[in-house]
Amino acid sequence: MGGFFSRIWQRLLRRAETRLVVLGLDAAGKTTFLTKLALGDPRTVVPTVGFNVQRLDYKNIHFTIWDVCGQEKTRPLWVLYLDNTQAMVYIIDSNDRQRIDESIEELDKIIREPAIKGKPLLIFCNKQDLPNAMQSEQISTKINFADYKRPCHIQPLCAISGQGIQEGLDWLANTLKSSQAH
Amino acid sequence: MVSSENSAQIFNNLRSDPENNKCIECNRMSPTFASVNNGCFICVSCVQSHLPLGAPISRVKVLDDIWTQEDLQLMIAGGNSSLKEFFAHYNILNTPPNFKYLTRASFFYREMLSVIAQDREYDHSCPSIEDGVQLAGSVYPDLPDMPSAPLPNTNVEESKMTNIETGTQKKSAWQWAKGAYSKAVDYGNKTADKLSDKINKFAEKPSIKVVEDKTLHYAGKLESGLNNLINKVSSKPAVQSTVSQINQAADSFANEVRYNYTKINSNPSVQKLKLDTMNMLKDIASSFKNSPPPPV
Repeated sequence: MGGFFSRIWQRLLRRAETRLVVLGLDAAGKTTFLTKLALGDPRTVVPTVGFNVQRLDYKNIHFTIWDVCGQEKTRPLWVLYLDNTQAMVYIIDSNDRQRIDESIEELDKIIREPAIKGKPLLIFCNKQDLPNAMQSEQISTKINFADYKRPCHIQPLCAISGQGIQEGLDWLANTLKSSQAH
Repeated sequence: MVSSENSAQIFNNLRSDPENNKCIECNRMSPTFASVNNGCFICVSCVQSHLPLGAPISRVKVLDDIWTQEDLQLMIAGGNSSLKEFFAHYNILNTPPNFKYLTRASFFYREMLSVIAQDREYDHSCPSIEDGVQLAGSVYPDLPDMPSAPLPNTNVEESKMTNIETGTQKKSAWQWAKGAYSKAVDYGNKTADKLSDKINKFAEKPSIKVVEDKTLHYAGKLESGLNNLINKVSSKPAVQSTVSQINQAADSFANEVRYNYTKINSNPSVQKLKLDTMNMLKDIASSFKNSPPPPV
């Protein structure tokens, strides 16, 4: 009898296990984004060697977020983190105008991987607080969304203050829920 | 692209300067990061103060990463010692990174480094000490303007990261520098015009003209006097006699040389030698003509 009720209870409160991968060039703000989400104080961040993992409950979805090192040397290893991921978050440093094209090239490369075919893509244009930052509308004109064939969303972000994280994650949660419903 | 081994070798060579083996902020040994556009080496803990500045101010890169040729050129052209010397000149060496990398002087340094790294000459002079320690206000208009040069001991904590909020007037440092340069050139041209006007007016004054005429008159007198003196000296009998003596001596010397030459030539032994050599040369020439052609 107890086993029956606990099963019903679990079924009622079942939360979707979702694996997220955060990618982007080095110094784009991936670890800052993750620490802001999990700990709330992103000031003391050191360039990542390897990866960071954080668990997070948001809107009844159980996120496991993988933040991978973005140095040029380790970019070939990004593919290894894509297995079983439900969605990808890509962070662009919009203040670094020299490397925006390089960043979008890397996104074009990684998005063709079959492991994340059709999975939603959330693009954060980070460092919007800094002067000289490129607007997210300007960046979105550079990205060829029609080729990606998946739900995409571009979101301005300031990872240090946390402005824009809420909107991005809301979109992600809604898209994941609707994709699970179908 | 440069392979990691090649870049490691270049960094090893750069470490022959002991300053490059220290962090530029805290002097800790063997830094593992570099600020590429500033051309300096930094350690793990000081990277935290560089990263929030943003890529245009300080582009941080791991030394182990893959390096492009341009970035390596920047590191070779820069180096810790030159940046330290530059900051020491502006008296901002010991100020926190979120102040000193935002000053006009450091904007100038980055611009200069990028030009020098491409083997081109940088033709702008560096800003004055008072101007250089000002924050680049046109780029960061929300930052408080520093009225005068802050001493190293003064508390510059006010310019913390929180002050770098959204900029309304987005204008790059280069545009600012260009504007300043053109203004300076305009100013220089105007002052040059004014000076030339003044000189012309001065020359037209009657008193100046009188002085000019007088000097010309005296110069003419002096010239004629000198000419008279030369004529007098040359017409004196003693001078004339010495000149004729020198001429005679030269003539006799030339005659002697001529006589000796004819004497040597007319000597029978010399003539025989001449004939012999001529015959020998003729023989050699004929033997060359008669010999069969060399095998190919």
